Amino acid sequence: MSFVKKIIKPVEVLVVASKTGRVTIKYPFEEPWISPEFRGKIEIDPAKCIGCGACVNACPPNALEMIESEDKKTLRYFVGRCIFCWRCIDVCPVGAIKGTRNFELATNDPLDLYDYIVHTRVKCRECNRVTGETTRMLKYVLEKAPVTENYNNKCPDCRKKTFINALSMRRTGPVGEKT
Amino acid sequence: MGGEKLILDKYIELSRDIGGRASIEGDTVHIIVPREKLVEAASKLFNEYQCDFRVCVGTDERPLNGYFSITHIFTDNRNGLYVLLKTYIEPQDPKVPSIINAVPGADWCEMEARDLLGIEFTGRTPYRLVLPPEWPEGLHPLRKDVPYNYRPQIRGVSEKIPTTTETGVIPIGPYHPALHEPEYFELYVEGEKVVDVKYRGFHVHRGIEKLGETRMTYQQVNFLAERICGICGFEHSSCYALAVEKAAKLDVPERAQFIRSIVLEVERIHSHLLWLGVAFHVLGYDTGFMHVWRIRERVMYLAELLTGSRKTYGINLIGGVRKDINEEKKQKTLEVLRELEKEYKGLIEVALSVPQVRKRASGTGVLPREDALKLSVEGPTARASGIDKDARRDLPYAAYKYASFRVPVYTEGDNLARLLVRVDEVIESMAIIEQLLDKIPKGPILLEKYEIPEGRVGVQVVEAPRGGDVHFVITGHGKPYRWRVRAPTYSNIPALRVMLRDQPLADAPLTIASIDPCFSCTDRVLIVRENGGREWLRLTGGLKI
Amino acid sequence: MEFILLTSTSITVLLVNTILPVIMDGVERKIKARIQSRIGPPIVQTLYDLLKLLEKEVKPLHTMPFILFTIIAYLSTIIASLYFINLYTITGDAYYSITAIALFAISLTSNTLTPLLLPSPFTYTGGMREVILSIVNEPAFIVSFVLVLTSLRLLNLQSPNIWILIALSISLTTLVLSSYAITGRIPFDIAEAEPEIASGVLLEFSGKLLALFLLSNLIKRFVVKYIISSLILVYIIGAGLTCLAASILLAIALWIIYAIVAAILGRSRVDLAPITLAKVYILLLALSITVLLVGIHGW
Repeated sequence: MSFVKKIIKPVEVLVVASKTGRVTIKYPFEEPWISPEFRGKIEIDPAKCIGCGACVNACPPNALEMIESEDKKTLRYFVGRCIFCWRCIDVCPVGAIKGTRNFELATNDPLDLYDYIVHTRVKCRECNRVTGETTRMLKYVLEKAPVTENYNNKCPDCRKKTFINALSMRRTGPVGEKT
Repeated sequence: MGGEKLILDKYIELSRDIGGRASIEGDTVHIIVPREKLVEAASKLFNEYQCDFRVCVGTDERPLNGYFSITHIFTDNRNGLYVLLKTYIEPQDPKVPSIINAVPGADWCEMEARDLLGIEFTGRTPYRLVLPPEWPEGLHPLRKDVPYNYRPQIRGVSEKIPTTTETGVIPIGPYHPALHEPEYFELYVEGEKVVDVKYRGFHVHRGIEKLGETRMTYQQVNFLAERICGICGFEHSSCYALAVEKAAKLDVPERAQFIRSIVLEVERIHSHLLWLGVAFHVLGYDTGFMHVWRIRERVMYLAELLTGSRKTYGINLIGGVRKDINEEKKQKTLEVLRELEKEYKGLIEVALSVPQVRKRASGTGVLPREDALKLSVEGPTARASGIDKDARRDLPYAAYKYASFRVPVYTEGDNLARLLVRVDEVIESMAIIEQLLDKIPKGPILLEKYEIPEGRVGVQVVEAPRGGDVHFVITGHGKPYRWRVRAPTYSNIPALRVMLRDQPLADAPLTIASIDPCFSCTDRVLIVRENGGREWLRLTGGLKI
Repeated sequence: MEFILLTSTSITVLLVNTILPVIMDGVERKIKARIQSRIGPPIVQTLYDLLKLLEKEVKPLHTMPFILFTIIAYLSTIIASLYFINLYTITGDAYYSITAIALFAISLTSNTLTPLLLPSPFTYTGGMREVILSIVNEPAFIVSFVLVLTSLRLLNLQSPNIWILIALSISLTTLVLSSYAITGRIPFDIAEAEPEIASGVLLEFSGKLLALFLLSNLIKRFVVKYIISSLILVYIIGAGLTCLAASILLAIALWIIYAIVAAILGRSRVDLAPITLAKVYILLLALSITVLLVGIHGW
């Protein structure tokens, strides 16, 4: 009897197969089977982004890069390198990056894979050189921690000079005068 | 408490006898010995103290203190201790005695240190292991003065496969329809019997250790580590995070450790189901292959629900995890596991009753226990040969001390035993997940503020689906100073030579597949580029193991 | 007139019979896919594959004239044996079936010979495995065929004898078993599907040569089932055009059963399979010969 059972056991796979039916999905003619938590491409909201570069620091494969030119700072997102880890979303201070579930990104035109967000850079009022900041970064900082006019439009060197001047005026008079 | 003190005292005594110094940090014993006493110390640790050899790490410490160093990592499985045996090497004439006469499992890692760092080992015959044969002499990529993006000029050399008149040669690889990753086995056959095997690997070496030490930050290395392997990636990233946390003595929240353990077990289930499918396919039982992978799809969906991605989960960070498990996900997990267990048991019963599967797997590819001990094999390969070794129980990490589980051990050492070990481990993993989900504490999942001091050493062993995976980290400024990864397949491949000898040729694919080789984990070297084009590595005449 | 009718019918049916195995292979793949819970390729996929292969170039081989000769010999003898079975089902003349068997044996020899003429180690290993299997299967097939034919003839001549019926059933079982082993399905596709020999006997063929070889393999599978079905149905129904149609249908039914069996088993090994088969064949054939002799001479 057990010998017959041994012969019959492999045939049980037919029972298994008939119970489960066909599991193949006719993708791309049907929807792909992804869960609600799936991590796909990111989308950066140009209205919210302040150009701080926190996402660039955090991105492991350097898919997000900051390209600096004379008067503009451009945030470039290259989908080809993105590993969809969503670290940029974790570290963005203003929540400008949104994650989507889109992973069907193949295209004929490689330029489709690049997203650019351009920011204008702030020029120092005193020495007229560009600082590292963008106009939006400046606005963000001012909203969180109000700083007087004397300091907020200047590059770090000019800021230092202004500060030393103000300090010396308050204590001992103009700089260079010995008392 | 008293017993622990005694063990640690014994290690301090050992170091004093040898003439070195010892220091204890947490569960790690650091022993520094002079160069001449290295073999004696290693032999004592391996034989008298019954320590398990894991890997040796060569480090270029010249920017720090002007020396090279070599660290042999042992683990004392019965007492849950890591024992690091370190010696310093003169930079002008880097020579150190080889320990392979005492510890045969150290063969490959010494040759890797020789290739990548230029440390010469006396008392053994050297050979080139990791770098391609055309690589220029004197250029050692892991030294700190070689930049990570330096590309040497190399001309590829192609050689013919040797043909002898006594035996036939069957080359398997590097491109072979039976293999999933490039590796090269040269089987010398007489009729249908394999008489000798030569192996050459390291075709997918990608320079991961150098990358981790130069252009990545601490948090970014997690994602790099996950991509060392496509099947067991999460345990690499967990092992790295645990090693750095151990080095920096960070207090990771308990909930994060529970989540790490749960996802590790989910990964183990998916990996073993994958292997079962591949084993059935190699045996010609394609129906089993398809059905096992069908039920594996549910595990992949579960992983995606818990972590956000089917395979490269990306939830590990130093200091915890990024994604939480809420009540709804917990219920879904338990539901999926229950359904999975029923289907899985039914399917395995049917599949193992197919006469061809049973007959072909039993009695083939035998690895005797003494050879397994000598070569320090890992994981199911060791457990199928009667060695009771499991890092989850011996060196508890993450949340494993809160779960009780059985470690399946079989003694026959053949392919069927390795298959049954993995079959049992899937059931045990499901039980562990249910226990951990039950006991998971509330709280935060990520450390907000932490500091990683420089110059600390952290070692961690994590039980991957294929065996014990070792990560060794020396912390540096903002990124690791030295990061060494040793995947379990690294220790298992030299055992193949014993398993394949004097066996029929028809068993070779199943035997090679039964150690569950993950060659992406094993190799971590550079791809050679010549003038911007891609050039594949050509074969050499095979390498002596 | 009758000769022309006979020949023209046979040739038409012959053309159908060369396309039918290709379609049936597609059906087999669909069945296998359904047992594995997936959709599988369309039924005409094998036809598409063969047509695509016919467009590709042939990689030159060292021993080209011999290879070409053996492949053409294989294809022509297998088609000729098909032709003779058609004639057997229409006329019922046993000599046609014996000629068919003889041509079939020649085709199997060419099939086994082809890979041994190639220098690659994979092909040679696969070829030797095929040889070992053929040594076991071919004699069993031919001997059981003779026994079945003899038993059926005896049942026609005498009144139904219980011993002859038993001998018939045993030798029919052996015939079915050995025909299954000859078709080269799982568990006996050792010569071409084992992973370490990387396609074994099929490795060195390419393009049109591979298409011819595969087509011959498919027709061989059909012939083997057709022989069985024609033997049985000529006895039950009697020869004629209905018998021809019914034999083809029964061969198709046998194909589907074989496909299901192949999908639920694993692949055997080159040393296990021949030994087990040899033991089974010797046992069954000895038994059926004994019972037949008992039936002939009375108890």
